[in-house]
Amino acid sequence: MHIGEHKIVFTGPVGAGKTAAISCLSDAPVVGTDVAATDETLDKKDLTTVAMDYGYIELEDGEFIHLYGTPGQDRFNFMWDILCQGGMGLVLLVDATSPDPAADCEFYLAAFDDFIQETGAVIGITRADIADNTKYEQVQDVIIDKGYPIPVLEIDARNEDDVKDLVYALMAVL
Amino acid sequence: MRSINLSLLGITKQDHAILSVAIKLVDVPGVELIILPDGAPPTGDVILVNADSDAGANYLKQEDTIQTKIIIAENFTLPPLGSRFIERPVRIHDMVNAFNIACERFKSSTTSNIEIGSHSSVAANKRTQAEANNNTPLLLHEFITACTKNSLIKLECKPYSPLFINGISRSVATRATLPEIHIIAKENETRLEMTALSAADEYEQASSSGVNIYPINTVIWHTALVGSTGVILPEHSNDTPVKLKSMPRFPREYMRKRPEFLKMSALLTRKSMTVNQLQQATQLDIKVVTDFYNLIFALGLSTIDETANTAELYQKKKSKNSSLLSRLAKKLSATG
Repeated sequence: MHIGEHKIVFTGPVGAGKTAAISCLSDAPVVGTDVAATDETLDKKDLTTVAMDYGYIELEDGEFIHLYGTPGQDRFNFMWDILCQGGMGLVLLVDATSPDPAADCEFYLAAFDDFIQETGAVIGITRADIADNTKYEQVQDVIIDKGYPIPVLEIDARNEDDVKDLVYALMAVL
Repeated sequence: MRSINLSLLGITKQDHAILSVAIKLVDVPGVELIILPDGAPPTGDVILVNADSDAGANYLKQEDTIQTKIIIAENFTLPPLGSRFIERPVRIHDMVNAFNIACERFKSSTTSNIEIGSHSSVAANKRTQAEANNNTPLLLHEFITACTKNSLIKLECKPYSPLFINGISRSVATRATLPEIHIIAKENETRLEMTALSAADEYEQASSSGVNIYPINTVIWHTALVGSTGVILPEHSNDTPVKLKSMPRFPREYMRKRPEFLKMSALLTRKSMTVNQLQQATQLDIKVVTDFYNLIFALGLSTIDETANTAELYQKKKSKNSSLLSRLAKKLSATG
């Protein structure tokens, strides 16, 4: 298996649901690099991804679509470019309950700008059901402001159908 | 007295109970509804089908059946042309409405033309022969008119409940269900007659019989889902360049039924294009592109860009992964 084969990259802040989303799609249990959280992440969850998550979808002809999840903390951003090399597209997950999801969105769009311009992206807003309903519009405003042709969907990262819809949307814009 | 035979396919005991009451409430003068024995071959003029049963599902798979179907199912499915859909739990008045409409159809002559009230005469005059086969562009036109003029409109769509369109609150009040609005949009047998209501109290009084209040965007999405068979909105042209102001907020049912709409949305946020250019860029059927144009305009998401170069050809960037993407889509749908 080569890291340059067909792959979709999942990114977003800590606790946005990247590992859960990859788990929904992967044909095999996700290989993670989760460790006990010791920093501010501890407020959100006990374990956090420090290198990457990995899963895959095996197609009929034996070809693989690799699913890589970036670590959420931006101090690991040296990993991002490596993971994106040869990627097909980006799935950005944003937690609607975070203090400023629009700012999170803006940050990640800027960080992955080259990759998005080269391929395509889709944004999934998670936990929208327990956040106020202005979050979608706030994220959408960032997209319009930056001129990105990116679909935005509210999803439950634990729900297989929701995550599939996200991938369908990504495929449509690639 | 015209007799209409009703066949039953796979309906449950509870459906039978509702049917026995509903049949007594069907009120179409000059028509008698006769129920054929349960289990008999489905040879009636109208077939009441439980789509969730094996017999019903198998029957609906046949493409050569010409009878009017009244389909009962747990989840919404778009009924074939001329058929009705009733969502479970089945209510008596839903079944009565479906029978009344089916009987009216048999009773009346086959075709009636769409008639639009006086203030829509410009739009009506511009209709082509093709438009007469589908109400979608005209319905969307009325929604746009109401919203842009902040006006109140009553749209008669006999034999269905009228649609009361409120352009101020951007809502539609009606007794018609969303599946019925689909039917109004996609058929030409429904007469459309528009009346402008002059004041809010007149609107309130008129729409008081409406039991459903839908956000207008919901109705627009549902109407556009049916499709306009490639007929552009009245007063619009295939050569008008437009640009998207923002990506549409696609309802989930659109995601899988109209993935090409996402593709076109992405293209139109990058660059202004006409319907013809968009068709060229995507190589999609012109009908699909026109439906998309109508939808985004009705939702107020597009803006006309007169500065765009309409002569320029869009150079399609062929995705190197297109074969891979189609195989991925196949895999995802197979495991769905």
